[in-house]
Amino acid sequence: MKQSGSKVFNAIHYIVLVILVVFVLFPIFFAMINSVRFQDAEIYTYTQKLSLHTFLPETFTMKHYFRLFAENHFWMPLLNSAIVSVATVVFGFLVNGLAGFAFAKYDFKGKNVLFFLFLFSFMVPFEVISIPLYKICGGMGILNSRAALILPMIGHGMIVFLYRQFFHDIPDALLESARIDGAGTARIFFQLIVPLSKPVIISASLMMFIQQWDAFIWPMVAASDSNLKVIQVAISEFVGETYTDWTLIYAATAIAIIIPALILLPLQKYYIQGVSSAGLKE
Amino acid sequence: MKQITGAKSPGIQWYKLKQAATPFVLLLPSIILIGIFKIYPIFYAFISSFFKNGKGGQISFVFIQNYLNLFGEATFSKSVWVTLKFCFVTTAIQVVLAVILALFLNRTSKFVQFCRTLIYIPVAINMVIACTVWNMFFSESTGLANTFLEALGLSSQPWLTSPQNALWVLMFICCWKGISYWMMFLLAGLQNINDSVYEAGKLDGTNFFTQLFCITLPMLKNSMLFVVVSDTLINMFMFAPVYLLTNGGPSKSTDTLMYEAYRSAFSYSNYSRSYVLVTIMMLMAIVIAGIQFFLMREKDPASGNRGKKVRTI
Repeated sequence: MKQSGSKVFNAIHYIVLVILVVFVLFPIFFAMINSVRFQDAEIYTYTQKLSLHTFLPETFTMKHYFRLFAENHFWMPLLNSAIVSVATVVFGFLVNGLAGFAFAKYDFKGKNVLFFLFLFSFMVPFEVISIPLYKICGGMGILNSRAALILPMIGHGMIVFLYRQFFHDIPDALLESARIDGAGTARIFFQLIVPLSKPVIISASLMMFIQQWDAFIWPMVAASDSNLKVIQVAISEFVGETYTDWTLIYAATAIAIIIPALILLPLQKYYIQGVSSAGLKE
Repeated sequence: MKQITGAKSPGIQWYKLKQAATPFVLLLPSIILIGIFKIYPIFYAFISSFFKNGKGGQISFVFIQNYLNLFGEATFSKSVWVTLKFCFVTTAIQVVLAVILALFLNRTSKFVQFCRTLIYIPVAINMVIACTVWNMFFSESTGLANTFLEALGLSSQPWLTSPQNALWVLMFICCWKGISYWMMFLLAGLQNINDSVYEAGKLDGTNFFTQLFCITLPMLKNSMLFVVVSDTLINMFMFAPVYLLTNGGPSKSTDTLMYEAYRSAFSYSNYSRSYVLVTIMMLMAIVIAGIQFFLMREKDPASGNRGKKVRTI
């Protein structure tokens, strides 16, 4: 593919690419331009009849963004999403990382059975078990709390698997010499393994972040209190209301697109590495 | 030596005990969390699907009666059909387009790399936000979709309100969001193919098509298998677009199993019906993951016997 060198081929290649990029970015662009128009009526006018102003707003205002934060308390879902994501990523690293370490570097009774159970646990998509989980968390009395959003997302068989694979390749001799020098298990993990494992930690953390960010049924049913809602649930409710304030909705979606894109795009290399080394054989 | 190992020194025993206990201490948090929140719900749903909540809160064992009730419903087979149709059509479109896109983007020029970054943006977008953004586009009276059609001289369409079109609109939105995600993995697979393979092919006189079908695609096999299986699992349990845009309608044309299970539980509080649906979906997921496990083992004996069951988050 890399060397099909004719000029016609190259030209077609570029044209197709540009069309694709336009197609992918169009709805995002559309949301952004409509979030800076003065009022909803403008959106309707220009979507019903094509003109330059369909794609370039006639007016420019940031007032919907101010409205979003001042009147609709959008900082609450933003803050909730941030707390929930950070907590999931941090605890997810500790819990799954230590488990991966145990599977990679220790021999113990029942190791294979346990590992099989961990693999089995992520064969069933999380969305599907949301319904029984709702009853279970209800029984534990943790519904409508941040714990309900965070705890079920922390333990993840696939992430354990990813850590195990990476830690497996760290030579045993290194651990032995540290142990002879008198380092305990905690010191070995945090001062020897962790500094060596930065790429896998970034991959796994991104996977946990995206998992939390992609979830919908669970955060919707598990935390219905208005002061616990995460971004995606808050936005889904904007749409559900009978009066749809499109300029406001577009302002909210613009924010909800930009923030994760800024986190993911610079780090996408690690994300791909993580998912492909957990999901594919090398 | 003999004295030391033979002696029942409490220090050594304590050390040995500590060594034996360490892995369990390390594993304890994950065993508790995965056990309670990932594995227990699977069995909870499975077992509860054989019970019924009677009046006054008493629970009675009804064996497969819940299943028979569900299978007897006229709309159940329609839900299965909608779920499978959505799943297989969307997966097919997504995978084919993702392969084509990956081939297009597998170049090293600055411009292509810039385009690649832009095309990755939908990966960071939550399904809810994707639906919100496309929602107005497909509005019948004020949506741009109809405005474009009219500008081209075609008649406008009811999109989400038409039983014929609604499912296709959902497929379109899922493709828009999903293609770049799957393309990411296929592109990583393409970049793993060594240039020397192409060089060797060139010596043997390959043209564009023989190169594509005899070298590139066969070498992409493992990435493809992973993408197809993970994508099937995600599309099988599609929920957000139905919930946000169509509510299963019009006339049940987008009523997927996942949406039925959700509505049974949270709109009608009919949990036993919901657990039956959840159990059926769990079985579907396990079968699909099992197929991948089997295929990876069969087709690739060279790289070890460790088959992995995998899906993405």
